[in-house]
Amino acid sequence: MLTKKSQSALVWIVLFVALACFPWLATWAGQDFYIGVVIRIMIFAIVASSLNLILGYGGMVSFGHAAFFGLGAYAASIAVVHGANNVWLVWTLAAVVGGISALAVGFVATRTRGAYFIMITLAMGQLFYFLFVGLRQYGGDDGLRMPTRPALGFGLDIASESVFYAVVLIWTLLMHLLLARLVRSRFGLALEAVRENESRMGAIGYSTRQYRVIAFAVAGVMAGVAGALLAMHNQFVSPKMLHWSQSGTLMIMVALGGMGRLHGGFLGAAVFLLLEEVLSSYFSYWHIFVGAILLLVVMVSPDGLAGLGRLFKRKAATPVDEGHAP
Amino acid sequence: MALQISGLGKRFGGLEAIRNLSLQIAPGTIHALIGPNGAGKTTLISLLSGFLAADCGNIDFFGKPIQHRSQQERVGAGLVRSFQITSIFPSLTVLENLQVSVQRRHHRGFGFLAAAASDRRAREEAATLADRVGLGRHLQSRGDALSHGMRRRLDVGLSLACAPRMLLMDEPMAGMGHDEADEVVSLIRSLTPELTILLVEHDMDAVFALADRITVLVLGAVLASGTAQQIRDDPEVRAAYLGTEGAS
Repeated sequence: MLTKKSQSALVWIVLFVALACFPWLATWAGQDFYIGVVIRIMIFAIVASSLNLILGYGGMVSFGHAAFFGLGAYAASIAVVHGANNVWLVWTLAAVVGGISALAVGFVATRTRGAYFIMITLAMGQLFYFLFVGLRQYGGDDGLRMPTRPALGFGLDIASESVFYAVVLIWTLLMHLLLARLVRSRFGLALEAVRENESRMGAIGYSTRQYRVIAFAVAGVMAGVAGALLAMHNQFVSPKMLHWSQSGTLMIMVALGGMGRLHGGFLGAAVFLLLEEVLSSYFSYWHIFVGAILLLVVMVSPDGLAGLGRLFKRKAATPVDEGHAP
Repeated sequence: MALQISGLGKRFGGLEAIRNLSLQIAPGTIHALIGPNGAGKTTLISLLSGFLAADCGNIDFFGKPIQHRSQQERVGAGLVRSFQITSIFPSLTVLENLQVSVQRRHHRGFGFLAAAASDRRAREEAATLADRVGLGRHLQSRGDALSHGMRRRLDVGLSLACAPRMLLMDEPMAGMGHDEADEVVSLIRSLTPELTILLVEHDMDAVFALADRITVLVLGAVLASGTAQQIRDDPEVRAAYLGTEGAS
């Protein structure tokens, strides 16, 4: 009998292997189109996971998260337009741009609480959106094309869809491991405690704002890298990527997958994008179905899809006041 | 002296909330600070805990001036406040609640990568503390699954996990009623006999039995300070406070 921990590890190893084998399977079945779908899912899994760090673990309703995603994408595209032909450089740049902008937004926004926090993040996100709408030399409203994907090195051709797929898969794995590490660390524990009761955290000696700002910056780095990957995938970026409605979509993904649950971002991105893929080919108002499904999931399980498993187990669980150390 | 306050003042615009307040609290005693509404009790707690900065005056904590220290530094020095109502981390387990309070003392950095669960020293200390406040059998229960009384004990544990030398208790009777407040204070007393406690309270009767010394605060200044008996017999206190409160 496997322990609970190794059971869930096994599920994720199987999923990873399945994702790794997917391109061959898709090619063999003549469904190459779905390779692109899965790439998109993995990229959005990174951004949604990064938002989950702020929203789920940090309890901060940030309505400007798409800005960091878009800034990463623009940083990558602009670098390539200006002749950068090294993907490592481009990724680093996107990570730095995402991180620094998130640090700045986080620094200002964490001075406020509640509705003001939402308004500030929304306003600052929109600020970046209008910045790129107005930047004529980088396409303005029409967006910016990335002429080629910057070179990966190691004799690998990143222009090939299977190589790019592998690159995105590795990034997704790395970011997921980073998030797992972070939320289980002392920092992660303190961040959750700040979400739960900030004044108490202050009273037991924590500088709570530092934790909130750092969570913002880390999430910005993750979103920036994801943005660079999406820009490389589409070889195109438009200001729409920074729009507040995109931030809303990311929040729906997190709520659907499970706020404050490690796999919530991944599950939410996967289910949302698959629903979009399937439903939008039948209905033009497919959002209405996503809304209904989100409502249903959240009503049944406040912890989203990631919490469904626990929901079934809880019925058979022992009473809580007989808790004991494992 | 555990706490020596001299010439402390705080204004909010035209309102002088604390005026030229001086007070000494001996180590190991329970000192009650009482006063009617608007006397400046909450302001004083905020000034002492570092939540607000004083306009003038000195605060010495065990001989060291702390008036320019941040709230975090004061907690580090052992000056810890508690809240009127039970204040815990509901969705964390009992062990995590206490660990988060313990780990701050053990580490300087944020601890981004090492797993909190493998922080053996903090975990063991948290578990020992849980035992001491009577929650040793509930380490894995979430805070919000605990009964009312157990939450109270966890709240005490969170404060004690900071290794305080002095505890500032903000109107515990208002949040929990007399009997419970008595219980909490005697629990703290039995666990840490040497701890100095400043008990800020609205109701005078409630603290007579508990406090070694009582200070009466009226309109931001000390009206009288002494033992329970002295306060009870003080004609000025009777006029300013007991008379209007109708205490017998």
